[in-house]
Amino acid sequence: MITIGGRWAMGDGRSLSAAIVIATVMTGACHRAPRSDPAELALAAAASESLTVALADSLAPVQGFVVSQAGTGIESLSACDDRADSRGWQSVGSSIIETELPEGFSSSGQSSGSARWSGPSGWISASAQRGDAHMNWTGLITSECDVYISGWPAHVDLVTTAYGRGVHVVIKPNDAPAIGIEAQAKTIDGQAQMLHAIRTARISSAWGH
Amino acid sequence: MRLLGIPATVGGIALAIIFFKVYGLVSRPDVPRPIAILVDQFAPGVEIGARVSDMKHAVPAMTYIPHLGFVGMPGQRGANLPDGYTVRFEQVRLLLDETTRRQPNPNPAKARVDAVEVVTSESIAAGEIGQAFNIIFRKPPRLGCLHMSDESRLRDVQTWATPNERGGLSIISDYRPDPKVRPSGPVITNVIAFVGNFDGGRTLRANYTDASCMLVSQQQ
Repeated sequence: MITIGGRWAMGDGRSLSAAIVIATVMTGACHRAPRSDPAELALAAAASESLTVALADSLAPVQGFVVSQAGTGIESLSACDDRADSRGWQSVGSSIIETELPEGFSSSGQSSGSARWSGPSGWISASAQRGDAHMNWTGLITSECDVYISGWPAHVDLVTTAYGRGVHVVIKPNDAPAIGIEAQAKTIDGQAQMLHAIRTARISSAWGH
Repeated sequence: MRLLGIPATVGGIALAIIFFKVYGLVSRPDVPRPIAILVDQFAPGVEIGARVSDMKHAVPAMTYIPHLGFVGMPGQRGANLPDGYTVRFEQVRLLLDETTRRQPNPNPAKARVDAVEVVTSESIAAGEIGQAFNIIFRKPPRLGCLHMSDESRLRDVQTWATPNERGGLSIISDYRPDPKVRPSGPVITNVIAFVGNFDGGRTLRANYTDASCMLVSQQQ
């Protein structure tokens, strides 16, 4: 029993020890970090990395770094890469996505739920995605990456197919159905172009409404 | 009587210690002063713990990035390192806590800044800022490494914590096994200011290993 300004009346040693232990435990408890969700942390890490890569990409031309791949063959391509030169590309739009595509690409079919463009080096299509990112297509996955496209988490697969080189992407907006984008190119340079077109795509405001 | 006075004296001293411990906990600022000052130097007007909406003038053109926080361009006030050097930061990120950043559109008037990250592409920034932190904290940094989604890429992490681990600062820079080789892109340096204990990947919002990248690359 503790009395302020008075004496220890009874069991003072034990009471004091108990008080110190309680104070120590409470102090420690206040500093303990809350548990974190690994899935949420992975999304935060992907968002942070995507943002840093996007900043570096935007600063590269200003600082004199070569970002253009035109005329020089790309020996290998990662699904995390975004290094095609988009100068001179044309803007295209649909009710699903808007993006820029290389010269020569034109619309080859559009509806409220799908869009497709074809060009001399390949084709690209977008539609509602049903199921997992790795469903409804075949091919050998050469590289995978989790990024953010148009502000939403996206999974990118680079695939080698009978046609040539493919890009499969699933974007998962919170407020609209998931979007599946598939692009096929005959060469690795074309694949890099399709990858850039998808990485810089914006989800149309009409999608999901 | 003298023997009875000994426990009372010890008790009194213990009470005084507990009182000052509790008083210190209650009265000290939420953000350690060195951290608050450095954040204000690197991103003028930005404060950890403040509401995002209170910083809309300090961080114009803010954009919300889901699962991360609000991103914009920081202001500039002149020299921001002790030796008079000025690091120009291209981006400031107002990082949110886990609960808030899950929301698709958190309310800036309610969301509070959990940590602050500034990003620069000045090639010597990591060295200059690291030297400044060595002087300020008077101790070498704790070394770590970030794994990127591209498995061949690693990023060095140097972390300085305040006394009693009440907060700290981490510098994140690209790991280059051979510094003589010219980088193929801009050299990006991130500085994260945080409060509380350093908790690796949770604090840095990244895939963190508590070992230097040199060690990690040797083990790969």
